[in-house]
Amino acid sequence: MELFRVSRNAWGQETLAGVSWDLLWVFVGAAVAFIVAHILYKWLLAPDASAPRTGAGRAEIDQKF
Amino acid sequence: MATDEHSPSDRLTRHRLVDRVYHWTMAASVLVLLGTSFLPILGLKFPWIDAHWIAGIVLTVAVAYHVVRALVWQDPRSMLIGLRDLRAAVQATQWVLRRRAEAPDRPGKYPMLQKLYHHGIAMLILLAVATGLIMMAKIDGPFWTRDPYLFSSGVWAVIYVVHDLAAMAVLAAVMIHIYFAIRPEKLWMTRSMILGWITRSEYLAHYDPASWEAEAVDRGKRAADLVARER
Repeated sequence: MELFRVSRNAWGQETLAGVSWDLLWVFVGAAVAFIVAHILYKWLLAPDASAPRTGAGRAEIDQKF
Repeated sequence: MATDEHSPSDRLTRHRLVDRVYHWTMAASVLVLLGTSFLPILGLKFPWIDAHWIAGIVLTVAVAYHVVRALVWQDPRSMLIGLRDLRAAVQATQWVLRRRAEAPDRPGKYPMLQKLYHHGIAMLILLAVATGLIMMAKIDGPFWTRDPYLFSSGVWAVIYVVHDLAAMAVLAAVMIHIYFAIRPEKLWMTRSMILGWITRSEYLAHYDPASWEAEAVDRGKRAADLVARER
């Protein structure tokens, strides 16, 4: 996989033209991998976020209302 | 998008209209920028340059507006990562690893992961905008003529590399952002970015009222005042 795009100038010299478009799939793949990992984590491992908090903290918050 | 059972007076402002307009303007311009840059690379050929630079100008204006509003009219300190955030991060890590039974402390208006995401994508967007504005010297526009010799080929190469990398990273960040926005347990946040409000129960469940005093939507008063009056 190429990392950079190169072009040739009027004198035939290679000049850097930017990043290889192949890298686009690396970034897309990284995002998809993160999303899949997070889905699996939430599905299989994550603690229950809806569990009640400590009574003292809850009472303190409720008192504000 | 679940809204639960609640009365309109229980609605608390999470995002004001100007901030929501900014967010969706930025979102639309970023999606146009990503589409006009990457779709032609994927084989969908169309005249993309005009749409790309115009969306870039819209994004630049939106970002400039946001920077001024955030620094002058909002509280920039609310986006700083402090000891409280780090403590909550340690608690969250322990909680995730089941070394702690109690859920981590509630954050203020912005949890640390949202702050980190904001700072990361802000850096990427600023890099893409800065390099993109410079790259406009390579095209003719309504108010300027192209000057491809503004910089040496080596400098142009660096500008292109930074712009390309920032754009690809923005694409990945946007994918992750949309994923979280449509997760069932985050839909209340997405609703607040559309309609502006969260319910009192969502506020109590996810935020520390001592760190972020949300205002009631209807009366523009502090939530605590609202409930105190109802008592």
